[in-house]
Amino acid sequence: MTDKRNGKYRTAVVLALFALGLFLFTLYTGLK
Amino acid sequence: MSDVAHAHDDHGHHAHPTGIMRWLTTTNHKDIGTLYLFFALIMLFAAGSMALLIRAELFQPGLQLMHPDFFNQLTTMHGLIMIFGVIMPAFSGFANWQVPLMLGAPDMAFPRMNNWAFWVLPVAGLMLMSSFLLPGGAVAGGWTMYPPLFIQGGISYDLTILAVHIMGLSSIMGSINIITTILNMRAPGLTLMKMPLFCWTWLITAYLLIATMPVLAGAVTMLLTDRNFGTHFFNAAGGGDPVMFQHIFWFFAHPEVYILILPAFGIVSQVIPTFARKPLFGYASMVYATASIAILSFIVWAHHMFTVGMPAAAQLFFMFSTMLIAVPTGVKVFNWVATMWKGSMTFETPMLFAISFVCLFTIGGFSGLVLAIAPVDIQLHDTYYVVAHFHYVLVSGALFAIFAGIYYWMPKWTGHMYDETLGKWHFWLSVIGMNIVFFPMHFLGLAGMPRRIPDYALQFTEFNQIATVGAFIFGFSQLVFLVVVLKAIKGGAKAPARVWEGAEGLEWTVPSPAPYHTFETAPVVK
Amino acid sequence: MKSMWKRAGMVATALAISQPALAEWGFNLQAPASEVAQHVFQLHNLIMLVCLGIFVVVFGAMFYSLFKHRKSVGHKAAHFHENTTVEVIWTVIPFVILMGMAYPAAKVVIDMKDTRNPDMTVKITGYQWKWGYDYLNDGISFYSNLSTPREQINGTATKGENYLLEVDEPMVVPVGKRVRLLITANDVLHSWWVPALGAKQDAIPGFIRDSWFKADKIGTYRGQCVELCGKDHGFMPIVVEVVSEEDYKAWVAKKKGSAQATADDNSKTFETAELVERGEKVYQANCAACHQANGMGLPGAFPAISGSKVATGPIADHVAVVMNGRPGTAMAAFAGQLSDADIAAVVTYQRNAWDNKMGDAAQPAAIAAARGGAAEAAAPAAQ
Repeated sequence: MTDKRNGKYRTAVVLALFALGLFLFTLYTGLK
Repeated sequence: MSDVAHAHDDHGHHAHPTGIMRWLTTTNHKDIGTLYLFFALIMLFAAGSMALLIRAELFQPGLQLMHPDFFNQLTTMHGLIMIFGVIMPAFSGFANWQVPLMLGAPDMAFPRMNNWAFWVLPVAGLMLMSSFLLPGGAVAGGWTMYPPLFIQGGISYDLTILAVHIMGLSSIMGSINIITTILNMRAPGLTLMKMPLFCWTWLITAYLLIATMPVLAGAVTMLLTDRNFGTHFFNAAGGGDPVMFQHIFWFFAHPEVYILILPAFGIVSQVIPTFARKPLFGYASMVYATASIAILSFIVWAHHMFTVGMPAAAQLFFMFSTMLIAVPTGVKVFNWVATMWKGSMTFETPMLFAISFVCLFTIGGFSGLVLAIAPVDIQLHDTYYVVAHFHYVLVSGALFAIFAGIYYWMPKWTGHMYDETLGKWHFWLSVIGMNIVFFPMHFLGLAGMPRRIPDYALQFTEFNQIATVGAFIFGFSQLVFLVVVLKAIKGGAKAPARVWEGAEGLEWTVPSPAPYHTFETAPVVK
Repeated sequence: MKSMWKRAGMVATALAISQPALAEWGFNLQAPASEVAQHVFQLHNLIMLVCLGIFVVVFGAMFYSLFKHRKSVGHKAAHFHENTTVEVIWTVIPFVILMGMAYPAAKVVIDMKDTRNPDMTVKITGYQWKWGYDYLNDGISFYSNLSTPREQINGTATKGENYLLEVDEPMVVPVGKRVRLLITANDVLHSWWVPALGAKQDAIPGFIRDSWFKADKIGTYRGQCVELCGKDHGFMPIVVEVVSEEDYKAWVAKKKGSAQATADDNSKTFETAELVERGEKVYQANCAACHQANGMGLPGAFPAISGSKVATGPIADHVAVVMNGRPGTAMAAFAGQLSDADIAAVVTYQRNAWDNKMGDAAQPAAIAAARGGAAEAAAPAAQ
């Protein structure tokens, strides 16, 4: 599958982790 | 999956479901695009009806039709549904249909996640609409959901928070799909600086969504825990701060308004060159201007909060940064005009909507500039001037661009030319109606009429009456649009592959209607 | 040639719209009654002119193009699609225009934020759904409720001239004095705004934010709450009466007198009929918005009082509900908002109105006793 070679899963995981991290960071700022 | 090349429409060797199962389980970007667009159309009529009820109550001073609390429910739900149920899904629909076609890709990067991203939306939509029937009625605290008022509400407030989470997840999944498709699946030879501006605007929009939706999720989660689990993020008595919600919310919501307009910029940037028969002026600047707008959108949020009592230095910072956004936005407007300049223009319906976008969105931009001037904003904040501003940019901006895109691409999707006469009727009724509703609202705000009130002092009567008349004209003219769409799906003159004489781009190289599977072998772009 | 017409047009427009008289037609900001409001009025005019100028130039060009560069008149498309010089020019010129606007705007921002050296200070508290005023220098306090009768709102009576913009107790200030405002809220966000005075400040529960105004002319200036605060957000207006120094002093004296009268009231014993009559007025001003004039409430939202268990049960429990409210609902605690006599009156009224015929009454002394040891004055209490 060329998909594995075109790096799409890596892109997706990076973006998803960023979104999750931002969500948690927002909650953390609220707690301060 | 076998490597055997599929014939254009023949799927005999693996069965495609038909009927309802087709739509429930589809992973095809064209089907999913269609689903998003139909969902948005249904929500448009739902939220539009709420607007007509609001305007009916506001036709005269006094309370004629409803209790003030129900009025607040209507204004809140009208806003939430238009933003999250109409504009955003409609643009997602365009992204699904067009991005793979424009890039020469066979589908989106993650077709199954694409299906999920859509199907959670009707669930969320149902949650929102049904909340009217819950004890206490629907959310009535404004789409901005400010605490402490938001903490006072009944069970529908919790359900609405859940719906917001779901819609946020949908957007995040959709954005991951779009970014990955654009970055990883372009046809060979199609560099980023060669791809259509519509793809650029959606790429940037998708990044904005990923950077802001999680923040909204955090904010509404804190509302949820303050309401139900004894936290006091926003309750001063417990050491919290209601204004902190506003900061977090607007950090999301200001980029959100650019999320609501950037794809519109993209659509208009495809339509105008086609009907001017001339390439888009200043492609590179358009890319940089869009990126600048997106980046600047992160440092202006407190211009929604000029009256909370922030120090003068903060007022000045946010005033200056907000004024700055006018520069790249102006560049885009000038570039569209320069695209038209010395072109060879014809005025089919898509072009009519695109031209009125350029003119009327700019009016909205000007009222935004007025609001950016903090001392003036002190007088205009929370008045009808703000309502005028955002309806100019969202209705004659985002919505008209959506109309332009539908008329522009519908022949490609359906294979039929739409009824041009009906399309023109839709256009003229809409543009005239829209201005009758919203232009007087500038005056109402200047004269001192606050927002979100069901009844008003006598001096505001005339302009309110004019606005209500305009609202009914504008509202009912959308029925013409419905007829155009349904007619074009059922039949009409056969559309060629290159529907419009001046159209450029890979989507015009496939037949109309576009085959179910396209670009299964990537085209080579020079 | 074209630019000369443009300049002439701009001057004409400037003259026309700078007349505050036009404000009466409702097209522009209200006629300013303070220097700050005047500066904002002028700033807005300036921005409007700039925007109008840009609009005329840009869309003049666009409409010209729509006519001349049409396929139907035979115009052939050119092929240019970039021009760096032109792009730089139309990036720099708007930037310069903005800088021109930023300077006068910044001056007004700093002026509006400068609350130093006030002549007097008034603490303003937003409630659901009324305002409370505490004159810190003069030692008087009162509430300010919408005084437009419900019948006008429902359409069974003709609307008065100041429909929805009139109150029972206006905020009175002397002309030409710098008034500092300390603004807060008791429950949810509100926002205090009087357009003609150019002052708007959000009222945030648990926090005090300040603002100021100095009224130039004697007169009555009206405003409204401008932050959604629930059901009656549209029904809690503000009236500021700017009077001469002498009239202000006389008003302060009168207010102090009536505060004394309220205190005297609280030690009287009233006839039931007196309580009922007084109680009906208190009910209309404070309770009818939710519980309705007919005592039937709004099913699903606000309970009926006519025939309710509370109003036909033990009088002490009835008093407790009125005084302490019901936390977690919109039923506020009226102990801090109403005097002993007023609470006694409204409870008596509710127990003897509509379908309720309890025949009993509450006296101010009983209310005072119910307040317990903590001496809570019947004055606006802020968080």
